[in-house]
Amino acid sequence: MAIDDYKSIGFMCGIEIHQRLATSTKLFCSCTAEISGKGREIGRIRRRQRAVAGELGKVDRSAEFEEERERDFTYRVFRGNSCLVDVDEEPPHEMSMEALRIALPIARAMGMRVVDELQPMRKGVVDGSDPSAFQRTVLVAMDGSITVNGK
Amino acid sequence: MYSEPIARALESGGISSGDVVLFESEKQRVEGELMPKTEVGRPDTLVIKLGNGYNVGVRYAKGAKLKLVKKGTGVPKFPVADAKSKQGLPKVTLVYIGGTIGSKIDYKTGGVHMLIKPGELLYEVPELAEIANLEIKNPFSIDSADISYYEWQTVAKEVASAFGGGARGVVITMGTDAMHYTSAALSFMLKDLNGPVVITGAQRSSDRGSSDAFFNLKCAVKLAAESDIGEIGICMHRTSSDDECMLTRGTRARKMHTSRRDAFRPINDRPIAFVDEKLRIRYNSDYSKAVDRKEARTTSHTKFEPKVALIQSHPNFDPEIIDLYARKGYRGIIIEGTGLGNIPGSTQHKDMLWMSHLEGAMKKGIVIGMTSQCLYGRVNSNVYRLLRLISNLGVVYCEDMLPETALVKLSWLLGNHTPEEARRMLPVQIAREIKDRSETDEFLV
Ligand SMILES: [Zn+2]
Repeated sequence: MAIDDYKSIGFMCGIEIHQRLATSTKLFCSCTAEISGKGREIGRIRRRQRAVAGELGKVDRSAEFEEERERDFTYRVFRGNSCLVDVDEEPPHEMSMEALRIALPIARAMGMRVVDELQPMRKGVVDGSDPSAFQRTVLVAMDGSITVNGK
Repeated sequence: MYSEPIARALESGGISSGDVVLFESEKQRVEGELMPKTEVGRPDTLVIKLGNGYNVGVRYAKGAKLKLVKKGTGVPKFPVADAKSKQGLPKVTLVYIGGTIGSKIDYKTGGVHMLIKPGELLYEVPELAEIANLEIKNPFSIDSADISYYEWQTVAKEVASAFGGGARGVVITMGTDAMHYTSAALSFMLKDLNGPVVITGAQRSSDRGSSDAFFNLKCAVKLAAESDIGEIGICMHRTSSDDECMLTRGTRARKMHTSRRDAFRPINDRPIAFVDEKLRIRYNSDYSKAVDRKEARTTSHTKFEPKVALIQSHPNFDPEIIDLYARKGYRGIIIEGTGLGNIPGSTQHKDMLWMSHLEGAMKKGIVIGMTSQCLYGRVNSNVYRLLRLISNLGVVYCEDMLPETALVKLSWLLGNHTPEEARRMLPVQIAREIKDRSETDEFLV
């Protein structure tokens, strides 16, 4: 496809950058954020997850794809790295202020608009990557720009 | 609650949760669906769901404008599954009185929709259709912490009438906080059970994919449909894994963790049965068998005396509190003593001595029972001289009964019997709440 073809179909594209923060704890609990691999395995937990309607909409599209009604996952628990919050046995703690103190200056640096009130929410994940079947996610700031090559 | 200016803007604009709105202020312009207001967050802030699915809070400051773009569609229709009764399957009555499994929250409007029709529940948990023909009752819905003997009375009658109507078993779903008080109350209020009564709920709400509600409910319905148990039990996870559920005797169960799935444990008892992931029942200890309908029908005996207190003996306790209960017209007191059933009785600090206060209360006809805050083990008034004195005063030592169960039992006894009879029956087994033998494998189960 030539560049004009993309233009003709109204193609737009964005990039999503994931960056793990070097904080002393995880975002919603007091476990270390380091993946050291040093913690001793202290147990395994088996969970079955179902497709349910999530907060981002009805039953998430991806959830429908994965749906076989229930899926089976085994989680390994390591001393120091996983607590009851991580294994979905305790409600989340207060959000890490340390993480927020990193996110805010980044938002400012890119001239973004920080929201008036943070709204932590659940984003469904049905691939088993989280024992709670969702990630906790917070929109901190919007818009903004970075200057690249003078543009 | 919203601040005045927001409330006014919503009213004048005819805007409610679920509507698409345009918010404009000096700082920003945000369009999206208005989300329901929760208790957390500032009153002067609106929560709007953006097109990308994320929620943001916007401060409704001076000069802000809120416009209705499009009315929402209201609470969506919830899908329904086929609920034709299947031949050969036992009838199970499901009594919803709370908890998340019997309801669905609509995130957009914040509205709670009760899944009253069997088809609605079967859409959520279709596996139930293979186990039993469900009949659903919803006498009320309540936060478990709000439950009282009024609700227990209603539920006990509901259970008796379910068996009268031919149910093979009964499942009760509720919030978990006061579940063990409820199971104890029903254990005393119901006689001649014609089938199992299984109470269940969830420690993780049913709107999340990882909820324990589904497995708990399946196991509970299975037990109600097929077991020959004639007792009230609590069916919840045995461990943190979704491998197995455990049925714990209603008078022996206790919530031992604030949040874990396996919070409910049998105290001074063994689990009655387990249900594995293939829904196979495995009996684990002896139990009372269901009574044949031809011999007797289930009856409810719901009289209850709420003026019974549960107090914990602890260092520095002011025993004048006991006089206060007496003045307030209390008819019973259960003490959670230390160790074997101890209270400050020989201290040199005269104002901390319990004896005269206990004596005074009993002279007024108050029945006093002694349990242990150790929870595990049996109280014993024979080991120490002081405990013999307490017992000789007339304080009833309640064997290996749980303090909460003793509270419920004494309330039930005083509702149905004279104080003298209640006093005599308090340490005597009625609903498997007391045993005279303690096995070695009943600790930290
Ligand atoms: Zn953690």
